[in-house]
Amino acid sequence: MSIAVAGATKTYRSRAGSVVALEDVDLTAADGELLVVVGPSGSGKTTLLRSIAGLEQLDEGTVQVAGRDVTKSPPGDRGVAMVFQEYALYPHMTVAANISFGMRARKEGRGEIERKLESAARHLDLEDVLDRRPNELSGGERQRVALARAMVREPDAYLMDEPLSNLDAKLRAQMRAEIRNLQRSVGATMLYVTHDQVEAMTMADRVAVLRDGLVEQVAPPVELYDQPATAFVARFVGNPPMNLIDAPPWDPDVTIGVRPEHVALVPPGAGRLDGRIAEVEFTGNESVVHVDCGPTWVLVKVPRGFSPRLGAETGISFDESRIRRFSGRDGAAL
Amino acid sequence: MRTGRFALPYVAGLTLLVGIPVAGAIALAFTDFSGVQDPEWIGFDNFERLWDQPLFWKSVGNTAAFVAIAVPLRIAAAVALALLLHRRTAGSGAARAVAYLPTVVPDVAYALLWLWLLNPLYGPIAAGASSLGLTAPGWLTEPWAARVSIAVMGAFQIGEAFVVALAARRTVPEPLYEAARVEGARPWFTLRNLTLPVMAPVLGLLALRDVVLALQVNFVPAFLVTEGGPAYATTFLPLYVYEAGFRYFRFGYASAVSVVMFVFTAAILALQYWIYRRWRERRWS
Repeated sequence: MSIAVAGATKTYRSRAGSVVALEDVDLTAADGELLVVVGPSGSGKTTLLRSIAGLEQLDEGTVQVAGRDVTKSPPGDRGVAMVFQEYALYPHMTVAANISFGMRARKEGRGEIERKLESAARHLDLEDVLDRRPNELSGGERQRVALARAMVREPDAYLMDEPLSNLDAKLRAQMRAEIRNLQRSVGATMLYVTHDQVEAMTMADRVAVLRDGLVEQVAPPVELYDQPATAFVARFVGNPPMNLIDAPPWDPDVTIGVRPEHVALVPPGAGRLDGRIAEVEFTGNESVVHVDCGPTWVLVKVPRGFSPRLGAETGISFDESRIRRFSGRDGAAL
Repeated sequence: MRTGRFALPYVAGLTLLVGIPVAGAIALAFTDFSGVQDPEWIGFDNFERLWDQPLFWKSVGNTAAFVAIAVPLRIAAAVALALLLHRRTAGSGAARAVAYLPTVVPDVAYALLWLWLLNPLYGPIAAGASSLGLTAPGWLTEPWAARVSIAVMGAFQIGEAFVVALAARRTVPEPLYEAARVEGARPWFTLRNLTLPVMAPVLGLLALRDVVLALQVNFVPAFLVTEGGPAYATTFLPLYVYEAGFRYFRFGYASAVSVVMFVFTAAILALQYWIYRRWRERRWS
C-alpha cells in the first residue's frame, strides 16, 4: 500500500523563535517500495515520519496511506506500524506481551493473537525469548521484538525511525540485510528514516534526501550517486564524498563535482590542477589520497599497491565525462 | 566504617529518642502502672484484659475499616492528581501547588476547618445541600458516615504521595506512549496496561507507607472532630491508646495496646507486600 505526502509544511514555534521543520514536502512511497529518507540532523526527516504516523500534526498538507486520506486520523487509525529509535519496548512486559500489546488493545481474538504471535516469533527467531523481559535481551533481540510488534499489526505501511542507530557496526550490517529481507518477503511498503547514507544506499529502492525541511532529490541509489541533483546531495552521498571544487580556473562560474574514483594522479603540470600529497588513507583494497591544491583539497582513490610519498608534488586529472557541474549560486546541477 | 561514622549522630538520636522509649513501652506493657506508683510486673495480664475488652475489638475494627477506606482513597487521589498534572502546561505549576497545599496546613487547623465544613447547621456543605432541597446526612453523627468523613478528610492531605506519584509518572518514557498510540491503544487501555504497571513499584511502596501513615493520622480528626464517636465508631487504635493512657492513667494497658497495634501494622504490611509480589509476578507475563 502506498504512502503519499503532499504539500507537507510544519513549523515549530517557541519563545526562542520558529524553526521550519518541513516546507512543502511532496513524497510518495509506492506499494511494496522501501523509500529511505536521509538527511543530517535537523533536516526534518523525523518530523516527516512522525507526521505520517500521526504523532505530529502538519500545519498544511495531506497524508495518504493506502489511498486513504488520514491527515486528521488518530495514530491508531492510520494503518501504519512504527519502529522507534529506542525500540520503545514496554519494560514490564515479556516479549510475548510486548508483541501482542497492540492486538490486545485492538481487541483481536485470542486465537488470532496466538497465531500471529507465533508466526512473527518464528519469522524473527524470537521463539526462545518470548518469556523474557526487554532488559534481559541483547540489542539485536530488542530490535527484532520491535520489528515483530510492527509485523503483527499487519499494517498498510511500516515507518522506521533510525531503527539501527543503537546497534554496533557489525550487528547493524546484519540487521540491515534482515530488515531488507523481511520487507521484500512481506512485500511491505516502508518509509525508513536514517542519517546514515550507507544505510540509505544499501537498503533503499529509492532515497529521498532532505535538507532544512526541503526535499533535495528523490532517486534510486545509483542515480543519486552518479547524478546528484545538488551540490549538497553530492557531498552527502558516497564515502569518501564527491570532490566539490568552487570556481575552478577553467570554469569560474560554477562548482564542479567529481567522485574520488574519477580522479587520477598524474605528473606535476600534466593535469588540470597541481598540488601536494597531504595524506594517504589505506582502506583495504584501495587507498584514498588527500591532495592539497591550495584553496581546496581533492580526494583521489588509488588502487592498492600504489603508495605515493607524503609531501610530493603531483598533478591531478579528471575523467571529464564524469564531471558534474553545479550552479555556484544555489548548488543545483546544471 | 569511615562512612558509617556519619550515621553516628542519627543512630544516637534514634536510640535515645525512639529505641529507649519503645523498649520502655514494651516493658511497661507487662506492668500495671498509673504514673503515680511504681510499675508492678503483672506478666500477660494486660494482654488478657484487652482480649476480653469489647471496645478494644471495636477500635481494631474501626481502624481496619479506616485503613481499608482511606488508603485506596488517598493513593487513588494522589495518582489521579499526578496523572492530571504531570505535564508542564500553563497553570500546572500553580495547580500542583494547590494540590500540595492541604498537606501544609497544620493538622489541628485542618481538623477544625472540617468541623466547620461538616457542621449540620451552619456548615457550607449542609447549606449547599439544603439550598438544593436536600437534607445533608449527619456526617458526624452516623457511625459509617463519620468513619468515611474522617477518611475523606485524610484524602486531601496527600501532598507527599502526590509528589512521589508525579515523579514516578515522569519516569515513564514518552516513546512508550507514542508506540501505544500508534498501536491503537485507547487512553484507558494505556493507563491499565502501561502507566500503572510501570509505576507499580513506586505505587506499591507508597501504599505500604500510606498504611503506616493511615494508622496514625486518624488521631487528630478523631480526637478533635468526632471525639471517638458516635457510639465509639471513630475510636481508632491511636485514640484508644491515648484514652487508656492519658484519660484513665492505665499506662501499662495503653502500652500493651500499642504493642498490639505495632504487630497489627506489621501484619498488614506483610500481607500487602505478599499481594503486591504476587501481582507483579502474575499479571504481566
